[in-house]
Amino acid sequence: MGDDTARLVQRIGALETELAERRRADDLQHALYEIASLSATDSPQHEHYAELHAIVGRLMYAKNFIIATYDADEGMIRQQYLVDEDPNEVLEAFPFGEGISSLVIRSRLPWLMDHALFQSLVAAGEIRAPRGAVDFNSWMGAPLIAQDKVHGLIIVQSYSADVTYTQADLDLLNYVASHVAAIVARWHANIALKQANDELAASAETLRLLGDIGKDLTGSLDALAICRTMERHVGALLPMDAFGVALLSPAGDSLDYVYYIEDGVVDSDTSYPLDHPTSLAVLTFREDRELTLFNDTQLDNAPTATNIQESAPILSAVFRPLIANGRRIGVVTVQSHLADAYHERDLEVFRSATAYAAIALANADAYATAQAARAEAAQSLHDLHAAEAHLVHSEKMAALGQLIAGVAHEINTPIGAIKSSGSNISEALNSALLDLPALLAELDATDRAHFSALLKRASERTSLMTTREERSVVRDVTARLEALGLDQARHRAGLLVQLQSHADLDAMLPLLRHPAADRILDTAHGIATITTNADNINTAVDRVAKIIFALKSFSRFGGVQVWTPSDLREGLETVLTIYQNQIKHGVELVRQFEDLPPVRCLPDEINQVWTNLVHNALQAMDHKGTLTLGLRRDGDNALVSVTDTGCGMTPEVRERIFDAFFTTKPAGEGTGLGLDIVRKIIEKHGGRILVDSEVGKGSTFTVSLPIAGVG
Amino acid sequence: MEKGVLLCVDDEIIVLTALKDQLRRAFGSDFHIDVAESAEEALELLDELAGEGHKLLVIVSDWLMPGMKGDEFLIKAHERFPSVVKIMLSGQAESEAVDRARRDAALHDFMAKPWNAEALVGSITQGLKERGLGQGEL
Repeated sequence: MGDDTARLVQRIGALETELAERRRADDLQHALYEIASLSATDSPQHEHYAELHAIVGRLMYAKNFIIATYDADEGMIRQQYLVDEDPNEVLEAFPFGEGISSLVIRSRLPWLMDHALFQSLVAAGEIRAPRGAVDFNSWMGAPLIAQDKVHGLIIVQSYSADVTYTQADLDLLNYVASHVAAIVARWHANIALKQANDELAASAETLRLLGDIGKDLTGSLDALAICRTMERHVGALLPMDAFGVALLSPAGDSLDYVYYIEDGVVDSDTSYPLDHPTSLAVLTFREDRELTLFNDTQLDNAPTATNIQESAPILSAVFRPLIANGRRIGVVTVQSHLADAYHERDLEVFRSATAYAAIALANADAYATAQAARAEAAQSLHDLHAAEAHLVHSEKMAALGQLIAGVAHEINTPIGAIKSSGSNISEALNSALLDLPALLAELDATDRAHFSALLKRASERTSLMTTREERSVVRDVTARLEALGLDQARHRAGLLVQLQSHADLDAMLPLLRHPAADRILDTAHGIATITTNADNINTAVDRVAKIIFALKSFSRFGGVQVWTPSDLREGLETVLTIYQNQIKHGVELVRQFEDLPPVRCLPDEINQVWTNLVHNALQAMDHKGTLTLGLRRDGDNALVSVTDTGCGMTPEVRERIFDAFFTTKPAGEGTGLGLDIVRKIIEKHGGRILVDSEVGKGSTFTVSLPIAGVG
Repeated sequence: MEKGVLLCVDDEIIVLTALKDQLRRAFGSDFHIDVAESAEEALELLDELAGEGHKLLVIVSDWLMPGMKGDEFLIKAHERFPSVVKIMLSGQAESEAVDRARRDAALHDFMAKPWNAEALVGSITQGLKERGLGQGEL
């Protein structure tokens, strides 16, 4: 019976053990399931650690429970969860070192400690006792290892003599820890990811802010507005009690503060020469480097704004050169009453803002320069318009500048008279020289005396009668001749009046009754014609002189717009006549004229072209040299060339000579309209004008006109 | 019957002097040359000549004159003497005025000053021929 009983007890004992183990296995299974379910959580909260605690607590004595994480990069052990009977135990973070937690992490093994082991480890120098004493009865620590990396540790400990952990407890803890490790690793990774994300978001935010600053700054083209924008942005991001922007003066010898504000007070304009001994802005600019000063004597020695009473000393300051397109344009500074106010991130923000501000300020400067240039150009244009308006308004002055432009036109009348009278004279001379000897042979001495007296009277200058008066006299004389019984009374009356021999008809009777009376009167009239036409020419020349004089003080353009077949040679000769005085002293005139059919043109305008070209040619050679006029035919076109041996033109001048208001002549001498008008006239005629010029040798202007015209 | 008349109208005496001798030499044996210093005077003269039985054949007129302009004068003359040969001889004439004279005064020719004597004589001769007033038929 004893044996049976003993076997039974043993059997029961075995069963109990089996049951206990089975229960423990069930518990463990359940615990692992619960732990796995925690992995659904992305990041650990206190409640999740508390749940882990509860799970472990169901498997073993875990009245005192710690979960710590280990950051190998930082070398830090951070207790994340702690429940302890000792009120002195609180959550802490400490560097990886020689403590008991570090031992677990370093060895990557679970440890079961009692006093003896602990003391021997301390004695062996493996660990150092925290706070100098060992207060626990039994202690277990298991590393949290996942993917071959230690993420932290789990600690359970007992202060009670009743509870002493066994190797089986340690195995169980280590087994649980291996599962917890996966969760903690996941949490760890999540935390790192979140931190990275947060950092990324922060730097993205910084970038966005800087981008905004850049946009704000570079969006403005006004230096003061840029300074204020930068002040606003920098002030929002960094500690700032003073802010200033100094720019290099246009002369390049000083730094001028375009903006300085301290304690909310804006300073008046302050300027420091580039050799200023204590100005920090000048130092920054001179040495071309960032200046970072914290509680430095240089700060105390630096000059201060004259009209600002500092509320407190400036303890921190950053000065940085403004550099745009590789050029130093000034200095910007931010300052604070705080000590050590600026850290690396602040400096980065400040540097970025400074870079943007530099670009913006350089743009503002370029814009201001461009604006000034634009304003100058606008003013010039305005002046030019005013000048143009003035010229157009005072057409007479423009004409005067052209001098001769209208002369050809104005003297057409007297020239016509001169030309006709000239041919009248030559014809009269011819016939008189032919007729006179024969006639004189027919006259006796008495009649010759009468004839001589007749010629004398005829050539006497008397005051001119009006045509109306003359007609009246002729009518009267006709009646008297009729009364005398003479035929051709009217014709003879006209001749007698012309010959100024109508007053004493009785004295004329011998000749009037002479058989050769008609020839006597005609010959006398022919000879008188020479005198009257010579007088006429003188009168016409006086008239031309008067017209030229008049044109010099009051010129006008006529409105002749009649397309007429015109002999270009005549036009050229007319112009040459006008310039005769200017040509004959010192200019050799060469005519290379070929025969040309008349060219259909507006003769007055075309003559204005020749006038301009001849005028310019004479001016170009200062009225000394050779003026060559050419006239030839080129197919359906007439070519007129005007060549001088003057100063010639550079290609630059040659390109611009047909522009309105372009002139090489001193102010007041030319309007710069001459060749512009020439070009317009030639274009109107469907023609072309070409220029060939060499500096020092002279110029040739060649005008091509369609002979058939276009009008 | 009296000789036919060539009338020259110009406000410039120098032109009249030159024209008178020029035309007298060319036409003096057949026509009487008369001159007037204005359109108004010329219109008076037309009356006188008609009253005296002269036949007006040719008018050579300037355009730009004080008072009545050449085109207006020629148009008035044309109303009374449609067959007269009318020539405008001018150093300054508006193209509209010339066109008007061509249309309303049957202008025979426009000549610009300075004029060519032969061209003027030729134009007059041609005008007379066209109207059957040539020298040969007188």
